[in-house]
Amino acid sequence: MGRSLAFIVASLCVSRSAELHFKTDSSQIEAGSSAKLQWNAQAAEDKLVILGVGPVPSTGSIAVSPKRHTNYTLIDETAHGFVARTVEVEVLGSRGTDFPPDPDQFRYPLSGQRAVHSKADFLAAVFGVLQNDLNFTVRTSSLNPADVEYLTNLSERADLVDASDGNRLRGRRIAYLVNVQDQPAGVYCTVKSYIQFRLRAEDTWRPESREDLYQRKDRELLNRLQALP
Amino acid sequence: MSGKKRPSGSTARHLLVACWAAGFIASMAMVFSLYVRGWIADDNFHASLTRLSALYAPYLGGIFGYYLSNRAKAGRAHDAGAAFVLAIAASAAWNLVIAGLLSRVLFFDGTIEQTLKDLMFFGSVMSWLVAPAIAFYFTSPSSQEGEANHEG
Repeated sequence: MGRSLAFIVASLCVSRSAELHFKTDSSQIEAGSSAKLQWNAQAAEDKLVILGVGPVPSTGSIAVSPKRHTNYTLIDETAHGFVARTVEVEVLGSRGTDFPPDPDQFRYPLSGQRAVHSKADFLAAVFGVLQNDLNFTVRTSSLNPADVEYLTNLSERADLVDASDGNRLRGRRIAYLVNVQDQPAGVYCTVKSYIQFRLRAEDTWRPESREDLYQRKDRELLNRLQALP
Repeated sequence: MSGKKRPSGSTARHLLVACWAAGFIASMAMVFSLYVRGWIADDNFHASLTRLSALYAPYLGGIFGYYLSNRAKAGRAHDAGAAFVLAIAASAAWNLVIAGLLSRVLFFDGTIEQTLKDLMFFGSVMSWLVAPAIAFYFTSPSSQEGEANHEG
């Protein structure tokens, strides 16, 4: 019985995601040139958003000229939830962004479930918080059509150094890994962070072990996401 | 001839040893200070000690060895002439560069990783200046201890 139910759910996911086509005409471009993103959602009443680009019609194409390796994630909000698809555009010769090398390094996951008016708008708002409000470079991906993962670069933040550090530190930097899953009642968000520090006389970034910092920063971001409209 | 007093062979040896010992101790003290303050971690502390040891060992070892050797004690001291001036000048320059690079980390905004690279670079480049000067001093014609403080 359980296996049958799982099969039906999986079939539904596959059929929903199969209706959404999203591709790029060139996955590698030279700096300054553009790539064409093309999509087709078939269901004209669906709400479509490309994270970082904005709302788009159900069928169409757009030329993009990213400065560096960028993932574009298309969100198709249907009556049943959302379906996400990601394409990558690599910019040859561009400077790499300092993303954490290993997602396993992210710590202290905090999760929360919430109802939202529009899942596509919420997913776009999460992107906006990370990129525009917090000034991270964000890489989105969707390994599963029913969830979207946001990985940010490592960014140095002055508020991560406090009085208890004395003058031992040159700085700390943080990256976030945010996962938003489609749920029948809304969305389920998980926030994790990875923090590094470097000592005052060093260039080397080292993994931070202060649990309170992880907890504080994860809580701050999750609260921010929970407060989104 | 010059009218200036030149240090005796013995004093010259003392000066040379003092220059190298002071440079080495100052450099080590700066590295220990960085470590004790928590400004560098264990790996960089060990790397710094290793690098300093590698830089100083050939010179300090040779100079101390000569200083403590029976030959030196027996009075086959060098005349504190041009060879000494060359050796002490090269030694002072070398030690000042090493100490200067390390003090940049301790007192300014330098980093230990970059400084270790700089130490390697300057240590290698300046060895062409220091090594011949010291070798010239050791191998130059010697004079008797009794000729100390003679007029040039």
